[in-house]
Order: sequence, then C-alpha cells, then structure tokens
Amino acid sequence: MKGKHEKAGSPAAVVRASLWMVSLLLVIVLLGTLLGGIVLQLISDQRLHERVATDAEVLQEQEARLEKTIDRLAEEYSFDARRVREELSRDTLISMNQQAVNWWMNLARSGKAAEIPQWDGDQIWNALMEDEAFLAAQEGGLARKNASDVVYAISNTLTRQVFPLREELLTEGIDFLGRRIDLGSVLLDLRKLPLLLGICSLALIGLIVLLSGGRRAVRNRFLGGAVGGAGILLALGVAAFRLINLSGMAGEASRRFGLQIRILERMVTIEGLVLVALLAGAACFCFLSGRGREKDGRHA
Amino acid sequence: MNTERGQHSLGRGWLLALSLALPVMLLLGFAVLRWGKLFLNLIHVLMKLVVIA
Repeated sequence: MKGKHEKAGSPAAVVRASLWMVSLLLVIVLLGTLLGGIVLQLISDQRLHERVATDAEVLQEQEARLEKTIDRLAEEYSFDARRVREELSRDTLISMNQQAVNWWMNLARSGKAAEIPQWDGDQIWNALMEDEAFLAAQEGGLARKNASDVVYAISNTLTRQVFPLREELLTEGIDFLGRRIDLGSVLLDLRKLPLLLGICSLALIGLIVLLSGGRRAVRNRFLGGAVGGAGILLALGVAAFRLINLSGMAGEASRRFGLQIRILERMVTIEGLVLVALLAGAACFCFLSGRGREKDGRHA
Repeated sequence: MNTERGQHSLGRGWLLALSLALPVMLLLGFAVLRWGKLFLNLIHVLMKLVVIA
C-alpha cells in the first residue's frame, strides 16, 4: 500500500532524469552567476578597492617606506626630515591611493589606460626652500636643483607605493589587446554576464517547477539540491582560492602589493563563506519545506 | 518523529545536492589537474613582470 503511494507521488523515471539534468544545469549556471558576480566585483567595485587601498595596514606600510626614503634623502641633502614628513600627511596618501583606484576603475570601465597619478610635491619644495639647514648645505646655487631632486625622489616613491605596477608594460599590454578586440565593449558585456546568467537561472527554476508537475515535495527537493550543489562547489572554490595563496605570490613580487592582495583575499573569502552559508540555508529550507508538503501529498 | 523525518529529508536532499555537484567537481578537478599548474605559473610570471618590487 505504501509502495503504491510512493509510486503515485514520485515522478516517472524520464521526468526524474530530466529534473536531474535541469538541476545540474541550474547548479552550473548558479555557480557561474555567483563566481561571475564575485569576479565582476573584484574588477569594478570602486568601494571594495578603496577599502583595500585605504586600509590602515596598507597606509602604515606605505608611510614606513616613505619615511625610510625621506630619512635617507635627509642624510644625503641635510634637510629637516621631520618638516618634510609633516607635509606628507596621511590625507595625501589616502588621496593618492584614491587616485590610483580611479585609474583602475577607468581602465575597468573603458578598457583604456589613463596616465598614472602623480604627486607634484610643491609643499615639499617650499618646505625645503624654507629650511635653512638645507640651504646652507647646498653649494654653488644647487639648492633649487637639489630640492627638485628630493621632490622627484619622494614623489617617485609615493607613486610606487600607491601604484606598484610597471605602467609601460601595462599600457603596452592593454594597447596590444585593444588592437585585437574592442576592450570597452568586452568589459561592458562582462558586466552584463552575471545578470544574463541570473535570468537563465530563473528560466531553469521555472523548468523545474514545470517538470515537477505541481508536486511541491519533488520541486523543493530538486531546487534545494541545485542550490545546495552550487553551495558545495562554491565552498570548494573558496577553499581552492585560499590554497592558491595569491597573496604569497604577490608578496614575492612586492611586499606591499602582497599586503593589498591579502586584504582583498580576506574580503573575498568572507563574502564567499557568507554566500555558502546563505546557499546552505536556502537548500535546507527547501528540503524541510518540501517535507511538510510531501506528508500532505501522501495523505491527500 | 518529526525530527526523524526532517533529518531524513535533509539527508536525502544533501545526497541529491552532492550527486549534482559531483559531475561539476570531477570536471573542474580534471581541469585543475591538467592546467592548474600552468595557470598558476602564468599568474606568478605575470605578477613578477608587472609588479614593481
């Protein structure tokens, strides 16, 4: 008697196989939507990049490097290092970091590399020209030239701190790509990809609803299965992302770049884990809400 | 009784989720084993090229 009920309540083998296939497709599309969303955020979320660029740890590292450069130059050119350090406030650093983020955002939106941010350093030049010890130490009217050299060295260090990439190589690479493909439209299409995949997900959910033929228990089990499957894969993806150790690789190339990548890695991991928890919760909700209906259906 | 049924539904559900994730996992696992090292080396070289120490 019980077997009869189960047979009547469960879809035929072909329908079940179709449901499994559609759910598998839904897993792939959902995973693509989530990963695409994360990648898109990594490329074009200005606030995320600003948070990384103006993180206290990053700013401290940049300040320490700048202080070293200023101290070395102060020894060489005999100026008051403290006075020059005062001109290079944290606000200047934050503003330069934000300009570097704007450079990146411009590249991510238009596919064209603008000029990298430069700091004019007028305040430092003025401070040096008011520094009596510095003026006294320069012989034969070299004060202006040496002040310009100091400003250039500090400005160069500052630019490298906020923009630790080889500009010429990047520009060449972007130009090379730009000659072959329309980078602007490719980036625009990329931005639409998660939305398109999201629409595909909705269509597949609709197909599952149709194939389940009004059996809420079956529909919820397969929907929950697809969401749970995407969650399992995303959890594995997050684990793999941590195992790759991108920050270690970046750290080998440049310590401060490694630091920025580590912060970015931490943010992506937290976001990934929150998404995994949400997917697991949604899957459990589907499984458990289907259970009540299954019970009702059997009694109907 | 209710808890038992709930656990049973969850168990069945997660088993289905695992069966759906497994083919993709195998496919991605194969891709990672086949091209993962090459991809990582490429990222490594690119970083060393583009990033200023």
